[in-house]
Amino acid sequence: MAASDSGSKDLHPIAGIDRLIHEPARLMIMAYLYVVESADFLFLMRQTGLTAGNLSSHTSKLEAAGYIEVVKEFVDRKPHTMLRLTDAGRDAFQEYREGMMEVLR
Amino acid sequence: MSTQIDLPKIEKKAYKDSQQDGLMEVMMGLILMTFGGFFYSPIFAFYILLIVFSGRIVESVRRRYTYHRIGFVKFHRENPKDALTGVLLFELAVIVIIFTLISIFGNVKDYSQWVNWAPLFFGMIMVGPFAHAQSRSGSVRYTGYAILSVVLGVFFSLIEFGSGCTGLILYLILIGGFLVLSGLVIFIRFLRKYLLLKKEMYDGSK
Repeated sequence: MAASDSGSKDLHPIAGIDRLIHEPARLMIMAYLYVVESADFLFLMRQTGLTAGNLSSHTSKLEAAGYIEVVKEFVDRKPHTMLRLTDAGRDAFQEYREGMMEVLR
Repeated sequence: MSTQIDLPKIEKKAYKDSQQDGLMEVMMGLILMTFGGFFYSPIFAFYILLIVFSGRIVESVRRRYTYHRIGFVKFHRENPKDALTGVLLFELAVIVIIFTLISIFGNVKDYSQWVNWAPLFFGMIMVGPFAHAQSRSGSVRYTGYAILSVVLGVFFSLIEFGSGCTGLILYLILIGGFLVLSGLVIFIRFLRKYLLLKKEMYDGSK
């Protein structure tokens, strides 16, 4: 029993890892948005190497979780999509990094 | 997956990619050339306008040619107080170095000596922005510009020219012209590398 308790304690950091961020494509998106203030859809597409469809699908999930904010605006009368991390997203990403460091230590 | 997410590396790549159009070089080169021209004729005083509006001019060209190709990114603002302190300390260091050089090789009270060493002074001043760009992007091309600006500065400071500012004028026009040409080559390569995408292919609009 004691051994089992100890094992679950050791595994606890893994259980706490945010699965939404842990997915590689979403992790890339979060990392890029973490180091900048905001970026548009095309910039993220170029940086991450994701297709428009993939990026759109992942950003939708992150937006639904409240991690990123998607702002649709008009620049020179053309639609333009800007993305930025929310405070919750910034905290979640920071927590994810700390959690991963803890797991891998 | 890597055990560490290298955020500084990601940030550098993002910055480097956002500057790959060469337009900053073109603008910096134009400012230096017109600044050099100002020592020749006051007509070139419009270099002040270029300095004041350089950000807006580059931004408007980027809106037309760059953002449709590689996208737009906004970086976190640097602390203006830290930046200003850094610039002032750097300029003070440059003045001390030039003062020391003139003390060793000439006479600090002689105004013409300061004019003769002006190319090196400007060359060293330019190391500041190039070093800053290099540290943010990790791109070696900025190191190349910094080395070139100092080497040319030494060269034009040591050569004897007939009239006072000739060395400085030639130096500024040469280094400015080099930056403009270099920036234009980078810009043309950029336009060829990144073709325009159709809006619906990249905007994510549904």
